[in-house]
Amino acid sequence: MKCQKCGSFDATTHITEIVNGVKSESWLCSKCANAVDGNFSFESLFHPDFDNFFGSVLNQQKFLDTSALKQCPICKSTLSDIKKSGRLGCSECYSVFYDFLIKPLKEIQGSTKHIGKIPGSAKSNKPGECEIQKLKDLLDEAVQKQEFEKAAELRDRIKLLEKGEKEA
Amino acid sequence: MWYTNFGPSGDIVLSSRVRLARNISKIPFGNKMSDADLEKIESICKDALPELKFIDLSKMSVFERLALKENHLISPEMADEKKSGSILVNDDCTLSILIGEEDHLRIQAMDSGLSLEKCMQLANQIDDRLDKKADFAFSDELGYLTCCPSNTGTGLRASVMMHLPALTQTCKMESIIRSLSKLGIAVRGIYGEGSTALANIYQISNQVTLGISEEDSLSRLSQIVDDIIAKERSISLEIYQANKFRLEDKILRSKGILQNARIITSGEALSLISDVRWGINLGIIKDINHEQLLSALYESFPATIAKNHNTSSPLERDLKRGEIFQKVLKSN
Repeated sequence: MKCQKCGSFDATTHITEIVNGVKSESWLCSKCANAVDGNFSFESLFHPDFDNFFGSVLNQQKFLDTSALKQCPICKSTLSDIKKSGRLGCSECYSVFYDFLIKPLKEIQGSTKHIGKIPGSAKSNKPGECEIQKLKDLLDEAVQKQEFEKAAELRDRIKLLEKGEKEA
Repeated sequence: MWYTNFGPSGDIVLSSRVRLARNISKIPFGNKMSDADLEKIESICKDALPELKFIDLSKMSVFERLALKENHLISPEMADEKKSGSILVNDDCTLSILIGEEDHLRIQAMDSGLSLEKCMQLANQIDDRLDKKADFAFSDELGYLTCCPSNTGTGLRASVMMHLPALTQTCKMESIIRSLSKLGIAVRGIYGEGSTALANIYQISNQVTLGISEEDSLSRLSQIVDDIIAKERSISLEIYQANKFRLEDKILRSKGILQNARIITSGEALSLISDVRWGINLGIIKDINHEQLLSALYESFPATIAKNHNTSSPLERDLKRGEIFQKVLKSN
């Protein structure tokens, strides 16, 4: 077997990588294997990104051919660019391609509603309000799914926030 | 440096890291931005955090960049690719802000042992200070917007690097990995030939960034890490009690090789270090401590050797590595 990296020498080293239970194997020649070794560090082993996972989820969706022509006015990315790289070109892409992104986002993240830190610029617009609304949406979702423990937790959090707002 | 210190639960946990992904609105993400965009972002950061040291990666040699990667200060992407980018670093190197990766900013705080909360505090402080000077890309619905949608929301990736020889040897890791992935927790390890993880080292991190707050992400991860630590400790003792002499033999042989070999590759060094670490935890090895072992490990990474000792070939590096272990692990 030839080396799967350079394709020119016989493969002598077998490298197996398992990420999240998904196994990927490669056969390398001694030269390429050495290069892997020479470039060794914990960072390379454990860079915790999920690579093109999003692109592959996006690829499973069927879109009309015309939608592939849609382009972001700011960074000029198209839907097929995003599918290929699994990356968006700018923050505006999120609104331009919203309809295509929302389902795969839900699939990989399990939710499409942010709860957590809010930057200063967003806070000054409507203090506390959007946080409470978000929690309320999540509460509805939890009740629908009959996750009552989670719902109770959310309800307490909303009460706490609403109380804080009144006092302020 | 912090990474050679013995931190909380340091017998099992090597290090913790919290990373926040942030982008500045109206500027294309790292994969699409211009040099002028990068300069603009750099100047915002320098202005917000004047006490940090600024390092321009484009002015460094490949080995210098790789050495920064080995010390956790930059990502593999920033080390390998011939592209521009820079970092801001604090004095003890527990904080680095990566500028110009796929996201404009990756604020990362790191420390030895299990110290997720401490890292989160530092990353948060820095984020707050940057927030005052920069307009971050954010949507009420989706949170902080990132180049890869797997980071969108909190932009938080918290991770812990653990050494788990007993769980690996008893083949318990596979079922742990399977059950954790259902909880939105990712486990990564690298596997050499055969099925055991190289050096029995794993990285455990949160996978989900939307619909969960930073606080909940962190506490969920900490709880899981605590459980794994308890399991590893108890199984480790069970194995030792059941196979006292065989385990002592294996561990002491590894110690002998590490202290005496002339030529050691980085892969071999890692698996020997794993045995010796385990031996220290079980009290089989008393004349070497964790900090000695960690400093030899970090000193013997390939690019660090190449940078410090000006070696050119892999053989020269492997010889130097042998020398480093002989020197650092001399019996006390």
